Amino acid sequence: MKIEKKDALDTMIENALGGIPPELNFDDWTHKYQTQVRIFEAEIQAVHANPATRKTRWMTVAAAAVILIAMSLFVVTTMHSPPESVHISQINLSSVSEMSLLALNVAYERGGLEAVDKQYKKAYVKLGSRSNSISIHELFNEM
Amino acid sequence: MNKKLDEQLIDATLRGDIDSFGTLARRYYSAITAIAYSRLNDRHLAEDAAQEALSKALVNLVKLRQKDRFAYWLGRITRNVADDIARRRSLSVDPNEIAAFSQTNKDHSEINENVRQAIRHLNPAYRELVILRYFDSCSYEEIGAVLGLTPAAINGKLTRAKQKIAEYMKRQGFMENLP
Repeated sequence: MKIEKKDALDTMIENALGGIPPELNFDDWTHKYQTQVRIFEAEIQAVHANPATRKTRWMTVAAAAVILIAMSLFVVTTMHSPPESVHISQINLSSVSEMSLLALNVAYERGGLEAVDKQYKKAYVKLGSRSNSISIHELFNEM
Repeated sequence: MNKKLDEQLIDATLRGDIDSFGTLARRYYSAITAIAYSRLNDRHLAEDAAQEALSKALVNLVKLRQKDRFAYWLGRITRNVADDIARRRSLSVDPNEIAAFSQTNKDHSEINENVRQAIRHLNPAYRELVILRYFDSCSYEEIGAVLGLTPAAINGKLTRAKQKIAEYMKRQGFMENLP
């Protein structure tokens, strides 16, 4: 069988596939799909009755997105923020510290800052530690 | 296909003129039937799929944003519908035999049978393209509209598809004079 290449191939495919092209009878179609036609008509009537419907829908979506972003930001910043500052009164002091504070307080009530300074010096002597900073008494002397 | 005309028809449909949708549907009916046929291998089922696709397109027309892409959108709906029908009816997407489109064309000659076999062996994209092209002689413009391809891309794919058909035919003993 000798057939010319291009035209023959086109013709062969057309013969194999070709036929009467389908035609749409739109009246039959609207009858067959009357439910869908009614749904469409109801939908466009709703859109015409309230043209802002679609706009409102988008605005609702946009508002929801903004709220979500704001909530996300709040959660992220809360997770990464430093711990809240704690008042000194909320700290449970050790009994030694409480005694030291009490001793200094009593000394101040008895003799003012000089008595506090003496109390410090007594503590330094007992503990063997020395303050690098100048004492209140020495400070007053310098002044 | 005239995209401006499509847009005008869509706008008219959305204003409540259902006959405009009829005009739009008739413009693409052959093409979408061909798309469905390439997946269903049955003319009646292909027409059912095309009509169902049109009903889905109508119901969802309000949601269509790119009106100039209506044909491509309709083509995709048709593919989905055809695949659903194929699944429902347990039909193979890659059928064993491609029958002629026309019921009146009952020519079961050896050549026709072999051409159908050759088309059956094409991959789905090429098969869809060949059926679109040779069914009702869809133009490159029409094919491009429903497949979302440029004329150059269509030409390239169609040439390769025809080469594969020619090779198949040659292996079967036809077209011996081909290089």
